[in-house]
Amino acid sequence: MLITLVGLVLVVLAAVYVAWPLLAGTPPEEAVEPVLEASDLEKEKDAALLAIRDTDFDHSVGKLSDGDHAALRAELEQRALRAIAALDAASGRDAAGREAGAEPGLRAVRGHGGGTPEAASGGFCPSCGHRFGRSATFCAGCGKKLPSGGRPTGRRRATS
Amino acid sequence: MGEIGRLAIVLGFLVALWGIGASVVGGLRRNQGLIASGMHAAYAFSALTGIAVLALLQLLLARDFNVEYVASYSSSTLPLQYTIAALWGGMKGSLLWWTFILATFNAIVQLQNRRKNRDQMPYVTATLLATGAFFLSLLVFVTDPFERLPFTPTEGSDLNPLLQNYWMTIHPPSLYLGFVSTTVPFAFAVAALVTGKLGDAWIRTTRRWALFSWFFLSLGNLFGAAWAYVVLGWGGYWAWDPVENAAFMPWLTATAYLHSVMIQEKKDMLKVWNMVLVILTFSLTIFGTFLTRSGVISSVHSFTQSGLGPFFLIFLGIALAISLGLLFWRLPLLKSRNELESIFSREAAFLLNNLILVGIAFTVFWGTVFPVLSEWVRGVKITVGPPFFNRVNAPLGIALVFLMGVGPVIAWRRASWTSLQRSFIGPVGAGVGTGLAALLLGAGNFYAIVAFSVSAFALATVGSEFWRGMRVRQQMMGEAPWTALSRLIGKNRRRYGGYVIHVGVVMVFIGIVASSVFRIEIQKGLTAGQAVEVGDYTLRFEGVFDESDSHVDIRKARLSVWEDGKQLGEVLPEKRFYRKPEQPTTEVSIWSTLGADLYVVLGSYDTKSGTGVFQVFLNPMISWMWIGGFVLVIGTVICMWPSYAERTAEATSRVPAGSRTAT
Repeated sequence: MLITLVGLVLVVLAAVYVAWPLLAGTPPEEAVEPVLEASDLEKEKDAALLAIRDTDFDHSVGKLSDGDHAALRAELEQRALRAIAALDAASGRDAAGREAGAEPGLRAVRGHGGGTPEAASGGFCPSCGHRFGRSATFCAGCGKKLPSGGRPTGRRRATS
Repeated sequence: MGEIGRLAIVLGFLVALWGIGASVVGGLRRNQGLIASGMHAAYAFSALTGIAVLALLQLLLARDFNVEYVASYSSSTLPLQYTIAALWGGMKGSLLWWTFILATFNAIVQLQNRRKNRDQMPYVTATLLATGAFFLSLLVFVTDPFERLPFTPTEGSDLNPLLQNYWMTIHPPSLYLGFVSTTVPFAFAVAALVTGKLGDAWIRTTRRWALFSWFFLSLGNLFGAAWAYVVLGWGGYWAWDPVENAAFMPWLTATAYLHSVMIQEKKDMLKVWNMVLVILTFSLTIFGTFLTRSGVISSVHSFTQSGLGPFFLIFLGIALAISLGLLFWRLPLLKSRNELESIFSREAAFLLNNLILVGIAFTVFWGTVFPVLSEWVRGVKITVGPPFFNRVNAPLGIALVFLMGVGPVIAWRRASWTSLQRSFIGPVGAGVGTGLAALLLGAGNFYAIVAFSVSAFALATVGSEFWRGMRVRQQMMGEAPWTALSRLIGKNRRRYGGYVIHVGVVMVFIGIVASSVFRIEIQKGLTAGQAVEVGDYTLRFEGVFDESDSHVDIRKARLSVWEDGKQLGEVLPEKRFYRKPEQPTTEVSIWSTLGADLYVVLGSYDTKSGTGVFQVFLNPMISWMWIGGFVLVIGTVICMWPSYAERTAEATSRVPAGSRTAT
């Protein structure tokens, strides 16, 4: 008797629970966290930036010769910049907005590669001597926090 | 309780069927109500299988011998931990246990993704529920774990004594965790194929699951080896038995996947290959279950044979047809624009590593199914013994360890000859030095010498990776050595955790090589006071004594272990006579050091003459395997630990809205 009762309760519970979303009407759409499926351009950009990081690290531990490093880096920087430019063109943002700090990746590239006017307006890292852009918070060369401090950037950085 | 359990599996089966339909239709029509109902079905499914497991556990603990399963796999004198282990000791119980683990993973996946991957989730749910429904269908329609006997036996026939061992309480669960969790990446792969969202999202979502599954497959294999070593009493731990192979093959393809997926992340290449590896790994776990359940192939590990084989083959066929069909359909979307830049690059080393791993998997597969195929084709069963596996896999294994040494040192994308030379001088020196040392110490075996020097080479490159990385941080940031080392690892957990895992794997490899090549085996009859020399050790037989309880009678032999005239301790090999089923077993006793294991088996004891016949094995460096296992655990924990970026990403939103276009 008790078993039958427990069994019945189990059946009813399971049926009601499973059918509930249909009985209660369409549930309100929950806030959806986008797991971002990066577009091809974004993937290209992330891959290039990541590759730059790997290349720098490989160079610093002596796996890459100076010549190879310079050549590879130049090529990868070009790739990253092309991707970023194409992304910006696609999203219709103007160049000024970008320079104002929408692309820390780009700054990292330029800060390290050096030579752009923007980078020059920043300063030099007191720890390692790398040049950094005016809105940089961390040194692109050694990763240390920079004394003057820009505003924090909360973007996803490619992690590997 | 049996009725409730039976009801739970029937209900669970129905709920799963509903969930599959609701998810697929809901996904195709974008009907939120149906999708949510499918999600509820997934939760209900896990609750119902949980109730069924509890019901079976309760019957076992209550020793209700009217239930066929309880009567077959336990007895009133079976100790508590083995009564619990009896839950997966028999086939019906292990199928239920399998379904329960899958259902739990399904619930976890639902929770993890309740606000993510919404487009893919219906198909993930459907795939997971379909696999679960398949397993439950066997329990509902073919072998009912809650089946009652027409009479109640006064006593159960007990768990097989070979399974009454502590390894047995942890080996199957960890192997199941590994086997079952391969379903999760598979389900996400199917969902990615269905929805056409074939970018990196499904890979990022299942990265931890893949590692989790690999981890438990590794542990399951190691625990299984330890069980065989401690229990089966033949002095070894691996015999290329079909069931061992069944557990080893998915490990190989999962290992290949963990490596090749990095190339997809870095270079957007090998997308089809990665899909194939995920599908293959899942299929191999089902194939492995088929091997153990079907009785097609005889095995020392197969305690549960049944007529379920065809069902597994049919399910495997359907799963392969659907997943490979989807893959074929989506091939145009999976094209990669990138290609390898140089043969001298880490990518190329990874590619080679994949080829070798899959090559080993294919060899093992071929050797495992060959007896069956030969019987079908020619009517003669030709068994393929360990010599075949060893001959083919030894060089492949050595090549793999060699690549383990090359991979870390070679640069991503492109390495130049000069920098390679500079990086390789130290490790190559270590390798050659070790080889020479092995030669001078009298290791006459060519394979062993090569294996040792390759291992030393691989360990040296990993060591130099840590060393050079640490030095760079020390110089650049002025950090203290330990700070530099821990930050180096913290900044790139996957890379350095991976290196630690490599150290563990190389240690296991060294243990395998040393113990299989340099094993000494002696069989000798001794009376009390007599001694036998084994390598550097001397064993002296001191006598026997008996113990017994209601469950088992034990006869123990006492032997003292001596080295260089000093007594180190004693070993106590046993002969056990279980009351039910009346079956003698042998309990080995092992004197274990880093250098070698002294493995002593009491073959027989003649009471009249007082002579004990002992089998003694000297297995060099076996403990390296178990220590390597610990190192592997540490490495995996380092890999899986959330990085700083991930921890903060949990707290805040991952990406500012608008800066990325979801495609």
